Amino acid sequence: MLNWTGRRRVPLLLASALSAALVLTGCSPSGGGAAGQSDTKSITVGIEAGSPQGEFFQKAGPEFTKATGIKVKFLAVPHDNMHQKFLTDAVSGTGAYDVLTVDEGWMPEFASKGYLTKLDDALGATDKSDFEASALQTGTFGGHLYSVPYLVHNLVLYYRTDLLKKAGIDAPPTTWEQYAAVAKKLTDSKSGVYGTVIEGKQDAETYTHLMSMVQQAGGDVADESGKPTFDTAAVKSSLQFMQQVQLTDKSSPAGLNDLTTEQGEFLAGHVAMIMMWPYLYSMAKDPAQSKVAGKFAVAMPPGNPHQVSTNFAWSFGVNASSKNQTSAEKFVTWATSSDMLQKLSKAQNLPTPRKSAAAAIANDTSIVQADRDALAVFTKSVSASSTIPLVTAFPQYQTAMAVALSSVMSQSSSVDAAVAKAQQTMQSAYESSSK
Amino acid sequence: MTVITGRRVGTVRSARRSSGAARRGRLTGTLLTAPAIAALAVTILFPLLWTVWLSLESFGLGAGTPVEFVGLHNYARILTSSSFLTALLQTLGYVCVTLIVELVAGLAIAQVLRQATRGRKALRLVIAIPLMIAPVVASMAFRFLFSNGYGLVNGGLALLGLPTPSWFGEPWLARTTILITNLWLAVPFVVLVLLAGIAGIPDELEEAARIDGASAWHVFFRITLPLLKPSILIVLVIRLADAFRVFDSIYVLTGGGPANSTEVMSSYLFRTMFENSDFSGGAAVTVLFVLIVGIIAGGIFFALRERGAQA
Repeated sequence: MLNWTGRRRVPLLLASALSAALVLTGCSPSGGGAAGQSDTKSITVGIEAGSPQGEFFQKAGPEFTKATGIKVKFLAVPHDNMHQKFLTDAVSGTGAYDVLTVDEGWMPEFASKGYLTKLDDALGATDKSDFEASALQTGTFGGHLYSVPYLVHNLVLYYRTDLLKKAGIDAPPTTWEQYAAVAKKLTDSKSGVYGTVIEGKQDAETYTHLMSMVQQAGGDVADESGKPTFDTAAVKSSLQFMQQVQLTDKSSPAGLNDLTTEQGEFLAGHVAMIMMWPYLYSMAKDPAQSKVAGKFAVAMPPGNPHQVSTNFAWSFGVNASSKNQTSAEKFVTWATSSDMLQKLSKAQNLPTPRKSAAAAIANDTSIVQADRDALAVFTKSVSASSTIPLVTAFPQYQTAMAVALSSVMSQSSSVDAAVAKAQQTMQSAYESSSK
Repeated sequence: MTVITGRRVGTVRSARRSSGAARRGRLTGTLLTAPAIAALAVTILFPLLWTVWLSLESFGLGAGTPVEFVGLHNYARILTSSSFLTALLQTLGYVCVTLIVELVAGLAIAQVLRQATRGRKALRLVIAIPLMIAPVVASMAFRFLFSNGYGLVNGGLALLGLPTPSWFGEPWLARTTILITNLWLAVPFVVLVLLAGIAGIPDELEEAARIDGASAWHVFFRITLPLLKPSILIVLVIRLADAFRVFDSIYVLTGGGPANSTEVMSSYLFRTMFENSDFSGGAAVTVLFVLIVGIIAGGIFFALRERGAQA
């Protein structure tokens, strides 16, 4: 019969000794991972779940395989989880993803930490000059190219041509004042139609609207060095305008709206105007997905006074931990070739970052005039606008802006207090990242 | 003498044999449990110790960046952060409220179900359905239910002529949606545990009390509730840990908003590690989290312990 009295410590001591040994010998954290030496003929590409562009590349995958002999598998990740998922893979150095879909917001963070392979030599001089300068800038950090954009876009104005015409308005608004007035005029609570939708939910997308408005008001959320400049008149006036439209004029549905609400309500025909990304155009003109097909158009965003919107880029980058560097680079250059980007632009009515693709699209008579007009608006809006500050602390800036926006729109905080708090948070993040 | 000597020798030999057998027995036991202990060490003890170690360091996540031992600096940084304190207070508030409501609702439902009514078995099955649904899925469903434009909740309120609030647009309403969602998920477990506890209470005690003139309230508070203490303890400890770890409903329903009003420890930890890439700070938060939950759980055990002789 076993007698454990006084002897229970032995197994515990064994376990503790084992753990201590493991702790002492192996537990220093290491960031990133070494690039692999060997290169298989199979790669994994991380794409955004539900993204029409991701689906485009997924469908085109067999073309790449046929051209190069490299098999490609696509793994879809929800937008809100992409940063975390890719970061975890990068820190662990497992290289589960060979190619990453890179959101411009966290490109600097990944580049600075060595999670993305430099692609300076992946594109030739001709290819580089074919890209719009500002487009390649979205993938450049510290003077090196880390990701190649396949889409550079921003928020444009979608408006209901039928509702504006019915109200006797012959042109879409070009200023904030006009925007608020038109939204108020077109709001009809009896029929359940709102003039617009103002986003205010605390999530990873709503801050893009605030940023765009700040630039429309002539300001920016950070200076050239990336230092936050959030506590400014431009930011406050943007938030006050959003509050006015939502809470005073009641031209926007009650509550803290997000992209899903904004998109859904517009496609359902319940909203007269929204600020939305170019991808919506294809959905809105498709009668199977939209009740406003044939009854809407796009225009430059209204300004105060600048008719601009913040440019955001989606790119492909090579995971530094990937064991298939060469194959991954081949995918990136293939996916961002003029031919592929032309196809993407034509298929989804998206602006293209390549000059040759844009020229081909402009001369493509198979594209209906309405679509070409829309593409012209998307391209003009991108050309007139600037992008986000490329700082490693931008993910924290995003969160701070989202919190400020939701604080103001939920009336939990005054504009001044919310802005001051966000400035403080962003400043701390900037200082931490600068160390 | 020989006999005595023989006995002594025999006694000594017998003592040596049993000492050796006992030693072998202990060694056998150690060797047999070593794999299980090693597995526990690797999966629980090692990560815990490593997390503590990480919390004492400062490091960037970039390849080749130096690691620096900073002692309690991360803890000082986290404990003086207003965001952490807000998340902690909101977590404690949520845990208190949800535990109380779960217990009260669970007790009430368990009392109803114990009655010999028709359809009792079917009702128990229905009550258990939320246990089979993933919290994320349930949270998605409740997100739609509470939605402004097309949610059933506001639809029902409108039909009754009542105001239709913006559930996710105001802090207290947003907190209410989180609470309701988690109650829907958690109360079935509480009910089932309490039902099992109630089943163990002899009917004779309550009968005798009623015969002696005790009212239903007296029977419940003086007999049923005290005898349910072990079951209540199980519920409180398990649900305490679950309530502290709430994440799915926060993430899906509100994202921590509006204005961080539904930010709790787990979502704060998630943001710290995966949005701010502050792994050492996240490690410190984790350790603090474990300590806080441990202290509170210990307090509950102490408060509800059996006083006097063991039952």
